[in-house]
Amino acid sequence: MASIIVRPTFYEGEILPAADLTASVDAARGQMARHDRYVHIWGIVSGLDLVGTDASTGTQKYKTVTLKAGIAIDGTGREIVVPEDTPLVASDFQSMVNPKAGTPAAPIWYPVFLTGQDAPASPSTNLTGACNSSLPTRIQENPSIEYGSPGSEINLDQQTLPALSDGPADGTTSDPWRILVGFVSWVGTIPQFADVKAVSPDSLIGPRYVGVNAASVVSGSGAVKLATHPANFTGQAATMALEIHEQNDGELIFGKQNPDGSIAQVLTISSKGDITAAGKVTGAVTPGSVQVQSGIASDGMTLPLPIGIDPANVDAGKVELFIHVTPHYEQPMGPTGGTYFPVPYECRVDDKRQIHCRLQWFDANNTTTGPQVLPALCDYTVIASVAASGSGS
Amino acid sequence: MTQEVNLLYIKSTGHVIAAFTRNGEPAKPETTADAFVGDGLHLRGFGESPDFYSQKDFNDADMVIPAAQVGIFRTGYDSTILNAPFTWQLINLDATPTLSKFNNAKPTLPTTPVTATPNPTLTLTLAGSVIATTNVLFVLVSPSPADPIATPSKVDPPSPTQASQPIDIPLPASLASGEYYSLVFLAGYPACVLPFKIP
Repeated sequence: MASIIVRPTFYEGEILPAADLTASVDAARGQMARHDRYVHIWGIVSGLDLVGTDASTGTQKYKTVTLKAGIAIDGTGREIVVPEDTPLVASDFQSMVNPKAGTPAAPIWYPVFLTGQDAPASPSTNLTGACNSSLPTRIQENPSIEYGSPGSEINLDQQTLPALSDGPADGTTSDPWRILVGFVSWVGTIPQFADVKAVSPDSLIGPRYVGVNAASVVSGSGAVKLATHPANFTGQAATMALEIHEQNDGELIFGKQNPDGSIAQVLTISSKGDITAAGKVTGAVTPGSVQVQSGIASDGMTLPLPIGIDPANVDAGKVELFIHVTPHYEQPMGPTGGTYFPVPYECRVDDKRQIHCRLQWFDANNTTTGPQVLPALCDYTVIASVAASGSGS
Repeated sequence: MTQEVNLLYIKSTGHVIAAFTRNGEPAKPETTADAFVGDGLHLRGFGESPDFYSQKDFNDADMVIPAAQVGIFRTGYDSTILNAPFTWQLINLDATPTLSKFNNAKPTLPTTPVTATPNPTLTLTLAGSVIATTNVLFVLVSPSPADPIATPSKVDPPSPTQASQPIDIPLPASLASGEYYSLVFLAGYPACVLPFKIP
């Protein structure tokens, strides 16, 4: 049952019992946990990558797997610190999940979880209690690596939350909160890990990172940036960033983040609404606009339309097409042998937008046989006029 | 100046059957050929005129490849591909498709195209034999404006390897009397058009 928050207070001459001192620590810890639990969204704060290193028995390849040092906040608001790189122990994995290897083409991926659990430290050796007994004066906040069966990475949001006023869970009196850090597969023929992945190819679920539960994010610096990784990120993926700043009379810029934290902007929206894009702009076609496509196309195929023009809107009369086709005479494919010369046979587009472009080839040295009619390329231009009151896409 | 060529090809065998360029290419290539095929891709003047019953038949033939059999592939601009798409094929379709000319000779067609009933059979012959199980698409084009019949199949290599390999074309027993054409797309071999009659 939730209870009113209380914090210890003291008065001059008071004899300080251990419970009051502990309550002082717990009050601050509980406040921090509630902040992390409700103002933030649980997940990995830093590090905690699961990495594999190639190894071999001589005949059988496998991987040693290490959880890199890092910090996470679980769903109870508990901070979990992995102070140093920690190897995963294959025998622990084997005893927890009795793993199967699967097939080389479809290995079975088992989720790896990080949990936090309190444990008393060793009793103090230089202090004694009232009854001359030695008791611990520290609580260890131990990180623990656990493994689950395939699919147990689903619904991690549905773990049991503490009561509203509670502090962080201790990881022992109830099931510890699981934080997914990655997946491992099993060799099977030897008791070792076969591979490691961040995201399961089966469930498409991967590690989750901390977030912010905020209705507004306000900066006092004159700029606010969102980025997919820190500026010093060394992974292979491009780090993308979006920034709103007050420079140049106010802009929103988007692009890849440079190592120095600046943005190689490819899209800019000014405070006046002007949009500058380095790439192509595609999407819904503006009513009342004209779109153009041109190129070269084979006989028999359907004529390409301008980008963004939906054939259904052409069929529905919302877009009107103006088409011009002519035979493309650059190196046309004629019959082999003989001395042939081409003459246009047909070059048109039918009501299904199918191209009819053929050349008839006459043999100058043999006038007794008729011409061969062969397919040809055409040069085309399509102008699509989007009705002012219609929709082009 | 356009920088790319889009190729329409038989999905199961890689035969290129049409090509086009666009001065405005979409940022992401299309994943299906539907917009460029309509109800089916029309092949006219396809094959070689001596293989047809007459020059007029060759000139008038309009053979439709069902849309479901046609894929699209975008590659760098090359006028030799654009001007003669029928002479190219896509290989390595399961991994990274690449363009290639045909290294094998066109299959040899039977000299007598009339088949027996009630169980008609039609056979063409490869010089040599396939070296692995190979995809093939048979498209039967009927004399009336009925829908073409597309039959994907596979050809297994003979054991041991032989100097020539017969390829049987499956014919439905229900074919009505008339003159037909069978388009044969055997992966790695030039496509061919085989006329046959059902008495």
